[in-house]
Amino acid sequence: MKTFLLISRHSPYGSSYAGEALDIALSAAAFDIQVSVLFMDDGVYQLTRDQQVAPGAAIKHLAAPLGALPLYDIQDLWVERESLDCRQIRAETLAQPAKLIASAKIADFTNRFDRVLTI
Amino acid sequence: MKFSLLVLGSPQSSPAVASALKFAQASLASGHELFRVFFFHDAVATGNALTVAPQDQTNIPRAWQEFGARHNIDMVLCISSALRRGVVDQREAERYSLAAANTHADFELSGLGQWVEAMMLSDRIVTFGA
Repeated sequence: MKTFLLISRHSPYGSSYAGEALDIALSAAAFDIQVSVLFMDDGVYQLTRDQQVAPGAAIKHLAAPLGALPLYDIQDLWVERESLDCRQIRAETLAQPAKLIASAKIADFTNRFDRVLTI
Repeated sequence: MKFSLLVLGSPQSSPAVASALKFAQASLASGHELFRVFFFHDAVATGNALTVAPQDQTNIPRAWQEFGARHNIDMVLCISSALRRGVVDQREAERYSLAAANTHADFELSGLGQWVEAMMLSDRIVTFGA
């Protein structure tokens, strides 16, 4: 089984990139690929609790694709520690359980995967 | 080496599509293979056959269209990105009862599975603009 790491760096609602990146992760999982996701930079905001999208807004709420990750057997979620720290987000407040990784370790970490895609 | 490209930026307002074209040209010139080019997000406008650029500027969508046709490149527009932005082929125009189709004949509208397949079957994937 091939392994794939998605690095998601965009804020949840400033553009449609965050949702589209998750769509790629879900598609890959449907192809029997072992998918991991690393959230960094503004991408860590995707994991914050109590997100609200105005009814009828043109952008989709990320609760659906994020909630679908475990259903697609995407359990290996990571978040960059420095991205949380400089945004004053505490890891224990995140909506999804994600493992912390220090930015100095990310280069080695990406070497574990057959494919890495950053959006 | 077998490359696949994921292109995200708009051909009109970001350098992503032009950079991807330069990369594609250079990789073929160096003897590499392009397995697939997947246009996602705003980059789907590259498949629009109806763009017009000012005379002193390069028409980037047209440059891609000509390059792709000349080298028989597998060029895919993400169907959900494209529909949302009004880039439709004849089949989708009929399906949604739209007034016209505007996609260049050498581009295919298809799903993300095409990109996932390209990721797995290529030696390298390169992303332009995000």
